Amino acid sequence: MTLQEIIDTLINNAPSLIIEHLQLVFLSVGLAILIALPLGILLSREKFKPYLPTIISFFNIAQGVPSLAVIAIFMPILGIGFTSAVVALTIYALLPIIRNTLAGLGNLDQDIIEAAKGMGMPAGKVLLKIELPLALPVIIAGIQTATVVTVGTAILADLIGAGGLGRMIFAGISMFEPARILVGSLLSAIIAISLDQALKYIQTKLTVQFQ
Amino acid sequence: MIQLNKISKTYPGKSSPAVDNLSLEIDKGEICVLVGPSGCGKTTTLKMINRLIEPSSGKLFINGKNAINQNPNKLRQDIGYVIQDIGLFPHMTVAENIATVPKLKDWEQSKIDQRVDELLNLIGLDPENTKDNYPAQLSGGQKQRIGVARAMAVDPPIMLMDEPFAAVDPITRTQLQNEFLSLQKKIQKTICFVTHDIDEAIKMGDKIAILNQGKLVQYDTPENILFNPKNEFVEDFVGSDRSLKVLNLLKVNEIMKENIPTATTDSSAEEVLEKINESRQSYILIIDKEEKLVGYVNKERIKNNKDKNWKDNIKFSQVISSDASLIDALTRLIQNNQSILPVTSDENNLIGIVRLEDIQDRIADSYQAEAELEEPEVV
Amino acid sequence: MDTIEYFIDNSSHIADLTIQHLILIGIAIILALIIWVSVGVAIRNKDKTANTILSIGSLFMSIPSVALYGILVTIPFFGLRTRSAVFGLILYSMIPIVRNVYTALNEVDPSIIEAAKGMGMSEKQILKEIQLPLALPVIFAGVRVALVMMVGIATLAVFIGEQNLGQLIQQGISRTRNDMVITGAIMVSIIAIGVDLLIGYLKKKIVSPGLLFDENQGGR
Repeated sequence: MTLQEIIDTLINNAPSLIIEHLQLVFLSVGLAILIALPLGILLSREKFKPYLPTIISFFNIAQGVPSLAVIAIFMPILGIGFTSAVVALTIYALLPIIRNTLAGLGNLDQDIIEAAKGMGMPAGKVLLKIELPLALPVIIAGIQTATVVTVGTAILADLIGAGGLGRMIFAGISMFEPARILVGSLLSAIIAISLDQALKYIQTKLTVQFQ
Repeated sequence: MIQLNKISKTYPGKSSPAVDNLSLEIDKGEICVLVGPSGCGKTTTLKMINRLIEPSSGKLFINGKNAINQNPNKLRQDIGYVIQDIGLFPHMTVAENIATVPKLKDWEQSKIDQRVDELLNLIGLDPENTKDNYPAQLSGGQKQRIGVARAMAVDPPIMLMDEPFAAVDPITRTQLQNEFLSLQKKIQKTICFVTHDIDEAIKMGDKIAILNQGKLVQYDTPENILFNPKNEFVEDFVGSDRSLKVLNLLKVNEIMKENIPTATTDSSAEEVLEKINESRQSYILIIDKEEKLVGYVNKERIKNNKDKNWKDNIKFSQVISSDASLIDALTRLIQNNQSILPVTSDENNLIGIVRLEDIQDRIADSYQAEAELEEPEVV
Repeated sequence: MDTIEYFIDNSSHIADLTIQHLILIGIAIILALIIWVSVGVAIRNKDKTANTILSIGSLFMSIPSVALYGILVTIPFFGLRTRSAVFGLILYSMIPIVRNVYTALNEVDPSIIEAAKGMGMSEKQILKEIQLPLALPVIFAGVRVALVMMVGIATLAVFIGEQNLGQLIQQGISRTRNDMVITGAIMVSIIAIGVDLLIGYLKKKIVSPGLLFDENQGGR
């Protein structure tokens, strides 16, 4: 593995794969937010309170299923390709977001909500103006986890033909070309760390704002 | 027993010392209470005695020996230490908590077991029911008692107590204070006791050391602190209600009336009425065959309900023990809107009564003393 | 049905892979405990060092596991197979273990430490007899997270030549054999749940009952 090989791989193969990888991540996480947020809010309502511990432990167990298994399990149902990868990644990304939405809304100071209700705020307003803003830092933290996990799982998506940086890494592994493995790995690490830091920054900004 | 010689402590980065050139001697078997406003250096002083805080300068002698050049851990093992938050180890049982210092000193297990039982009995807890419990299973008062027992485990001659009763509710506090005072009669420890509460200081202390801004202002008996304050600071700190505070010092048995008329539960209604008339009171205390207090009856109620069994008119009364302070007695009288309070032994035997009017007389006496005290200023 | 048939026909192969999987995790968790508990204890009084170390750890956490393995195999000392696999797992367990040891040691009620000091316990005795036993429940929680994570991440070590349950899944994908994929996924999930239960059991055995009242029905 020479420096020249590394530079060549970077220039020739990387750009399109980076874009593919980012598409996989943004599409999946975006969809996951759209589904998980309303679902999390719904499950946090009074009606579901008795079932909450069960719901939360279900999500905890589901989170423990390895990412490779998740990708693999959906393959027989959905077939291979970009779309199936997005569906599998979306489902896997749902878990941390729902869990944190539940935790964020569930751990709010009940006095504050009581006070808002006592002032005659309708339930919808209480949710929108009080509960969600207060729970936002925790929800963002869930999105952060989901994003980092998805960047990593998206590498595996190549196993079902979705492309992305996984293609470079796995090609490197099967042909034992260390330059490809290294470039692919480093790039995905950089993407994961940057997205993680960016979301962490947003999350701290939001938390500070309240304190 | 404990001798502080020109001890000072200046914390790093602070310009003025927390404790400034303080000298203090605590005699064997005495309770010395360090008291003062917050930040006066009382806790710092206490913690310098077991060197949890190292003095910046000055000398410290314990039992005649220079404590500064001893191994601090060995030193601390021979000084009992009780703190406000108790600090029981939650992962250890009551017995294991008490055994902490004996284990550090490599006592044999059989000796440790024996000592644990002995201490639990001493603080009034049943060893069999308590020793295998964990702190989370105990009430606040029980925890505090275990904290005291743990500090006494190796029978150290000296005990340091840092606001030991501050974290419990007022009723439990009074109870713990009384218990500790009667315990101290038996164990005769040399005790340094920190509090911010002047009432507690007067009640607990053989001597009181009043501190302000790191300096010792007055070191004297509670009586002298109350009636011979050295300066305006002490006077202000004690407060204007000295005559009430003096009630902390006086015990129920000092003004208790004995040989009071009583009636027994097996008397007839007529006999009871006759006894009430003889005593020229409007009530009479009722005792059973073993002289244990049952309650009291009012004359009017017996007269008005002659057709019924007179015993239905017996009312339960609050009681007090003879070594309680007069302030406790007064509090109980006022809370229950009574003018007399029966005094009973631990076994509920009637010993006598305290009357509100007698307490009032005492207050009046000390007002007189207070007025005389202030006279020189008037002239 | 295919899956059950596959499972029965290949039970000894599956058992082999399961054992390999467990051995990899076993080695990794033992080394991780030795290293990260020591680190956590060492930094307990050093806030600045702790912050640096914890942010390095969270950086590792956000590196995708396949990528971390990819980077490790290109480093000559680690190379393909076990060394890289173990080292990667150790790096991922850094945050849950170090952070929990560090915070748990520092969250011990100061009045408990003061009482211990006041009774004449040395710094070492306080660490060994008071702080560590009190920190155990939180340390256990960290180990639990680390171990469950390891079970999943270990499957990815197949891509750098390890032989374990990940192999069933990987080969299942490349040969489009659902029975293999599902067998692998189920076995891995069973191990994850088993490990979780095991840690819960050990916690009950090792942690002092005095610390578990809140979790059961609470004290008086």
